[in-house]
Amino acid sequence: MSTTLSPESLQQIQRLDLRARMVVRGFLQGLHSSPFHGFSVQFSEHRRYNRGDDPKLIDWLAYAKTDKYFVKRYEAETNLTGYLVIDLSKSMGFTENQTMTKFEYCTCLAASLTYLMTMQQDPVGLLTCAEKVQALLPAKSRRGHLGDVMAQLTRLEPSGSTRLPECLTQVAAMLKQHSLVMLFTDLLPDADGGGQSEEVISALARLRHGGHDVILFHVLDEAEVNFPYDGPTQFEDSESGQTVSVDASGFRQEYLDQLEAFRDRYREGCHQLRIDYVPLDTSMPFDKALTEYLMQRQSRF
Amino acid sequence: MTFFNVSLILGVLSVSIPIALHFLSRRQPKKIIFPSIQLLKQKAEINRSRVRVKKWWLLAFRIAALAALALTLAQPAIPATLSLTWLTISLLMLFGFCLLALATLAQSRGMERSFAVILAIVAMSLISAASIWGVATYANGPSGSLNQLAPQSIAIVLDNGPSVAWKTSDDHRLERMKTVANWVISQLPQSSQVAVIDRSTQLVTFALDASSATKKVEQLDVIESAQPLRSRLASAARLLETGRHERSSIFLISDLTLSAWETERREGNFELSNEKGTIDLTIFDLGQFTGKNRVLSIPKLADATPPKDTPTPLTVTVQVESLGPDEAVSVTAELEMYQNDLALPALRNEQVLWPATTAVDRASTQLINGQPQQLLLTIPALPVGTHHGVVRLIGNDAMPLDDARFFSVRVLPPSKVLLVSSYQSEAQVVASAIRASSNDGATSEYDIESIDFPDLAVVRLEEYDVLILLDPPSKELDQKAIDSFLSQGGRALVAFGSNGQLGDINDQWFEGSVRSWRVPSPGAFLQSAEFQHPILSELSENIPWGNYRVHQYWQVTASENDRVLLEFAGTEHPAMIERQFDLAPDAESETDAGRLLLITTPFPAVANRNRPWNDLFGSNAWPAWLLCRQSIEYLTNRHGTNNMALVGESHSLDLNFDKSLTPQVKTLLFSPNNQSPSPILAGENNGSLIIRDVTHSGTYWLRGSQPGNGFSANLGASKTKLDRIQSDDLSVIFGANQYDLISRKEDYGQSDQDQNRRLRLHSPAMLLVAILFILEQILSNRFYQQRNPRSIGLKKKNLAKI
Repeated sequence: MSTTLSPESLQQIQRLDLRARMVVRGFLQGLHSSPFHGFSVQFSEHRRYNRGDDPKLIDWLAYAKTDKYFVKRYEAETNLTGYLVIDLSKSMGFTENQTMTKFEYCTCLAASLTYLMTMQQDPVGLLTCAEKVQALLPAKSRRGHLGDVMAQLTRLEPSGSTRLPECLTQVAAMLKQHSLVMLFTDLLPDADGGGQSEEVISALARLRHGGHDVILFHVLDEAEVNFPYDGPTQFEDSESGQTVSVDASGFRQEYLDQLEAFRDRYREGCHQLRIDYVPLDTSMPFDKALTEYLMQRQSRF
Repeated sequence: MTFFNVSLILGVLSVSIPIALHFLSRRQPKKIIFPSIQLLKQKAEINRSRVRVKKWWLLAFRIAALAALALTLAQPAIPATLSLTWLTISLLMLFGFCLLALATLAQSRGMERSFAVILAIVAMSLISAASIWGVATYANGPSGSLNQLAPQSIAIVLDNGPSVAWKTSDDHRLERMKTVANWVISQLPQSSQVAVIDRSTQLVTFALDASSATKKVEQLDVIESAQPLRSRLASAARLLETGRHERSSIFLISDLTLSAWETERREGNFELSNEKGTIDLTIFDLGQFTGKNRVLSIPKLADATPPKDTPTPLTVTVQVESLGPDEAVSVTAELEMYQNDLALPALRNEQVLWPATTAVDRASTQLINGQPQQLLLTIPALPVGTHHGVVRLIGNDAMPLDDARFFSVRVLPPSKVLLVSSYQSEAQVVASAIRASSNDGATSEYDIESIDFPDLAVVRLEEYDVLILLDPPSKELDQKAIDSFLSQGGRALVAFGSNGQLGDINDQWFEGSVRSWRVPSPGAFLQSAEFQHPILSELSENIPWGNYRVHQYWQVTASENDRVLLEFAGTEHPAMIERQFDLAPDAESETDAGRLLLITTPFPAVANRNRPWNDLFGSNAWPAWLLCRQSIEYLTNRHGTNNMALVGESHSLDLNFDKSLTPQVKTLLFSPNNQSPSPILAGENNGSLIIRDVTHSGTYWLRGSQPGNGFSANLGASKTKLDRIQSDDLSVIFGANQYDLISRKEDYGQSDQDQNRRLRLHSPAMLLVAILFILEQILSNRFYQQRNPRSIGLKKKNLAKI
């Protein structure tokens, strides 16, 4: 499973929809028997018709038998509305080994989730975070929606800086329905100091208070996680152009400690907010992200 | 501190390479786009300062490693006396570097900056103080302490005097000496200068290389006429001055015999040094002598110039020196005579053919350790001429040099003596004294004719070898004829007495004032004025002249050319004068010059005179009797000391050729050392041959003059004495602790003297270099990569946290 779902193997497939299908098919095939069988679109119960209900939902057979209006409860209420929120900051376009950028990893992951959710009849919407939130697609579950999402994801490009806390606040304000917000970001703060972990966690808390479930996919490049540099090195920030010269060999451990502390801050914050925090790097297979989604889905029903 | 290969210290200059690289060729950092720079910025400053400190440390290690390597290759050594000082300096330096490392650690850990600065200041102070102290100690410390592996200028002095001829089944001195010398040469570091110096008179020079030095050692032989050790050591010291190495040493191989060291011991302190400084002296002792040695003394001839056809007794003293258990030894001595062959010795096919010997007598005796015994041997009757012989001990012993002794006899025809005296009794006394012989029936050496003074005028003096005038009456003497006789090479003995007239004696014989001197009772007596004169040297030194009083004598004044042989005790009045005349034109040798012996009191005074002049020929008058014989022997050239010589001394040999026949003659001198003979041209001006240094014992033959001409040389008895000096004596000679006395090869270079003087720092310096290189490698992290961050382990760790 890991072989077919690894970013390196998927990199050979250009079309995003095919990639998504490969990921999900491979993922489901690996599961053997799906524990999510009960999510199919089926009748669950009847309830008395109330004013305002759609007359199309009245079960006329029940009326014939009982002479009362009953309304069938359908899958629409059992479905999970998901929003893919993708960070469009320039740092997301970084790759060290020139195989897959963080952004590509995120789009691939997002596409796979969209495909999976579409299969489950769950509506999926797409939002992007840059200077401000841009709602690209509303959450829909129809089959053609998948193609729209794929098309949108393909067109996206990381550029400029992102004000993630503000964007998240906007998202919280935008979403009326309780939804599953899947956030794809590297969580790196701005060059001017914006987007520190406290602000982001605070914005996530607002989202959480809005009744939304949040999965935070913290995607970093493999090089950012392992810091494979040696000797005196001058590092330049991709967004601000700032430079820092250090001795990479002697600095590695300190950097990794810093990174771990950075992740721990989010892990701790998310844990308190009951947000699922998924640290990823571009060398990790996609099934981990999918598993996370399905776990979330299961805990809800 | 001293360095062996001083030139390698220049290697310290290589420290400029890392310094230049550090400042000139600094590597530019590679540029990398990196999004997570915010994570880097927080600790970057600390990292930067840490990197800077690390770079300085790295530079320091590289400099120190290169400098230490250069110093190590230069092989430093410190004087042992300063070892504590250098240890303290090293500890201070080490402590300083430890503090500096602590300061670095404090800085890298982000501790209080002031703390790190204080630590660094203290560390730098310690290091500076230690450095200054080290430089001062180096500048003021003694130099010259080099380790044993340094090339050196060494003189191997070999005491190859007669004692190294000692050879037993397990102790062959000469071979052992060669072995030790070769071993020392083989142990020397490369490019050392070696001089092999023995006790010969050869000039001392450095050998070209080790092999030529070894070759010289192999050619070593026993030298009988060995030069004094002091002069050879002084020559070695002078030679070492010209050596190109700083370290000079002398390795003396000796068996410490008294004969070799006696002079040195007597002359006292001998400082071995030259302009370069003190010379290390190592004395290798060849050890005690163990074994038996039979010693034969130099033969004593009853008469060195016996008459022809008369056997001559010869006595030798023989004794055994047992340097082991005592036991009686049977010794046989054999007397051999060389056959006089006109054609021999000769050089044929580069080999010297010697005359054959014939054993003529033999004597045996039993000897006990240390008790000498005399052996009497007899030389058979010989014809006129010079004859050579040898006395040998039958059998071998450890010291061969004293087992054969050589002698020469000169058989002369009878000397004609004209004895002129007014008193028959006195003439008889003198004649009997001259004619007396220990061998009854022997042919007399002298043909004596006795006349009275009136007959003197008609005698042809030229027919006589010696003229004896006893108490000549002045008036009756034909002074002119006598002067002529003397100037022609004649010899005369004149004893003045009562017949002489004051004025006549003065006119005829002496230039200064002459007067008759009457000595009050008990009278004067004779004493020797020249002990070395042939007449007197044969007499015992303790002759009781005091028993033979002189009551009256002629007080004369000796002229400048006169030799006073005897004088009257307590005065400067001559009693016996020798006067030598100029060499006659046809004289064959210097011994043919006219000689006159003058005695200023009647000799003998046995005739009836008015007053008694002296008691010299009184009762038991053996001294006067001997004096008479010696005087006549001397005048007739029969005193016989001419043909025996001692090794190491000069010897004069008469060439004895007839100058009337040929003005000069070519002669060949054959030495007993079997080398080619030396050609010698004998002419008018060199009637005798002077050999400055008799080098070997044996018979020297001079061919070309008279048949059998030559002489015998013997090694002095003291030269083969095997008594040894004590180590205390060496301290007296060289000074305590100024030399190493060793008896085993393994002890060479391991002595306390060397150990105390220098400490090698090569090993600790190598360790320091290794430590510095390891530290440099660890710090630079050039070869040992940290664990690959892409390793699976790290991924697992990340996954585990998820």
